[in-house]
Amino acid sequence: MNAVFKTFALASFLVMFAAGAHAGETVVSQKNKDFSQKSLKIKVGDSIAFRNDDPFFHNVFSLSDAASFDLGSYAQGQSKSVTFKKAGTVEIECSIHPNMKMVVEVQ
Amino acid sequence: MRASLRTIISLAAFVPMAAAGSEQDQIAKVCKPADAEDCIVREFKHTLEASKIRGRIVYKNYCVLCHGETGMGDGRAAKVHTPKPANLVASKAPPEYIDLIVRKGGEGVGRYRGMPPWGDQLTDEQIADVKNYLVALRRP
Repeated sequence: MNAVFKTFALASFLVMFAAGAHAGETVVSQKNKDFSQKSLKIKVGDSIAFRNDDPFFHNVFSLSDAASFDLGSYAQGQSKSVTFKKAGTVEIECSIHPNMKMVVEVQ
Repeated sequence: MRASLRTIISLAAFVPMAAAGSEQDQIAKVCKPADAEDCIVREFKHTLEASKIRGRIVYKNYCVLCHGETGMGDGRAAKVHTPKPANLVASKAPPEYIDLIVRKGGEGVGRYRGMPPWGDQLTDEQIADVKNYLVALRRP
């Protein structure tokens, strides 16, 4: 019985460890022409899902050396993800709403 | 400063037309070069000249990021787009098409999706103004 318990405990630990080792995903909402977070720290390999919670289009992009991308325009309720593969500071903007800005520190 | 210079040059171009009693003649009579743009937008707001001035402001706020300061398609965000943003100086698109692609974006008219739809962000007047500015921006 004790052996079964130990095996179960070990299996549980391994499952939890494996889950922790996975890259994380953070959801950043676009609401009222603003990002829900102005700054964010993530690890290399992590992703951010940019979710449009406004009733109009957003178009998130970055021109930073650490991550250069353009997600294109997407409507309310839609979400687009980016995986950050390089450490550094990433400035993120919306091409439709020039006042929308946030900074992601990829560590 | 560059905009003011351009306005002064534009106003100078109005002078020979004074005899014709045109709209541009009236502008030249009323608006002094020192504050020509403000004057045109204020006193002649329904004219093409006023629309182009307002359109340039719209362009600088929303379009310059991809299409660049001079409309050549070389804005700072051009590097993340393939194909590159359109060279608006060389464009031959009819004004009606400009109106459509500005409102619906590239994807909305069956072209590259990099051009966002601006119909929700810009007013009808802003779209008309930027269209007039873009037509004036063209070079043969």
